[in-house]
Amino acid sequence: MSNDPPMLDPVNFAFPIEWGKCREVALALLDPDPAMALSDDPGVVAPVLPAPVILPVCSFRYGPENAPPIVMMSKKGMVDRSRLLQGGLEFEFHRPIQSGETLVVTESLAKTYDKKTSKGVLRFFEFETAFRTTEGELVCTVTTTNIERRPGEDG
Amino acid sequence: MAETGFGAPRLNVADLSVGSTMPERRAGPITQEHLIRYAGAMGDFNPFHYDAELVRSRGFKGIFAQGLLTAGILGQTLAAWAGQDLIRKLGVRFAEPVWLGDELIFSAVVTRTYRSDEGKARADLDCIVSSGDGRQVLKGSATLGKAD
Repeated sequence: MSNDPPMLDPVNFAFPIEWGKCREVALALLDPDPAMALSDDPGVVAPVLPAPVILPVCSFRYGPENAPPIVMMSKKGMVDRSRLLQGGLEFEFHRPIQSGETLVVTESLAKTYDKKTSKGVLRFFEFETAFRTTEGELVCTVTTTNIERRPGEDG
Repeated sequence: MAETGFGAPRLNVADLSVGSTMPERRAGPITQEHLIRYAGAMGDFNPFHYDAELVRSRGFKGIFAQGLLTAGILGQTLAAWAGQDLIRKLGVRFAEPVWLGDELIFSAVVTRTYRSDEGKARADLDCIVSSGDGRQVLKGSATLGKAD
C-alpha cells in the first residue's frame, strides 16, 4: 500500500427521503417522541415526518456502491479496514429534512492528513457528504472522520 | 415547505441561557435487539455488532453497539426536547464502547448563547452520554436555533 494519501472521485446520486425509512430509523433510535410511534389509527398518521437527525448517514444505501466511502476504499485496497477507527461525525442542517423530498447527495473525500503520535502514525480521512435539493439548495452537510493506524508504526 | 408538526420548535431558544440543561434521559439497557434494529434500519452490518466469537478473537470483552446508535439516540433525544426543526448542528466523538447490558444516560448543557448573522437566537450545547457504570461513552456538541 502506498504511503501517499489516496484520493477518491466525488460520487453523486439521488436520496429519496422515505416516510417509512424515517419512522423505521426513528424507532430504531428509541425516539422518545410518542408521535413517532404513531398509532394504527389512520386518523393520527402524519403525512410528513421529520428525518431523524442521523438519517443522512444511511444515504449510502441509495448510492451506486451501497457502501460508505471508507468501506468502498477498503474494498479497493486503498485502506486497511482492520486498522480503521471511527473518529467522529458532524451534521450541519441548513434547514430541516422531511419525508417526501428527494435530495441529491455528493460524497467526497475532502481531506487526508497524517499525524505522528506516541502510538505511531495516524492517517485521517475526512469525508464530506453534501445534500442538496434538485434545484441546488444546500440542505445538510455531514463530515465523517475515519482514522487509519498506519502499518509498521505500531510495532 | 409544508410544516411537519412533529418537528416544530418546542422551546424558545432565546429563553435558554448558559447553564440551561436538557432533561436527563435514560435509555436501555442496550440489548442485541437494539443493535439488530439499528443495523437493519441504517445498513451497518459490521460483524463486531453481532458476532461474539469474532469480537472476542479481536480482544474485545464482547459485542458492542454501533457508535451511531448512541449518537442517533442522542439526536432524537435533543429533537424530542427542542423540536427537530431547531437542530442546526450535531457533532459527536466516540469515547468508549457501549456494551450489551449498558444503560445510557443522555445529558446536555448550554455553554453559549448568541445571535446568528441573520439575528436568529442560537444556543451551543455540550452533550455527554454516559453508561450506567459511569463511563463517558460519547462526547458531543450541538447548536439549536431556527434556520436562517
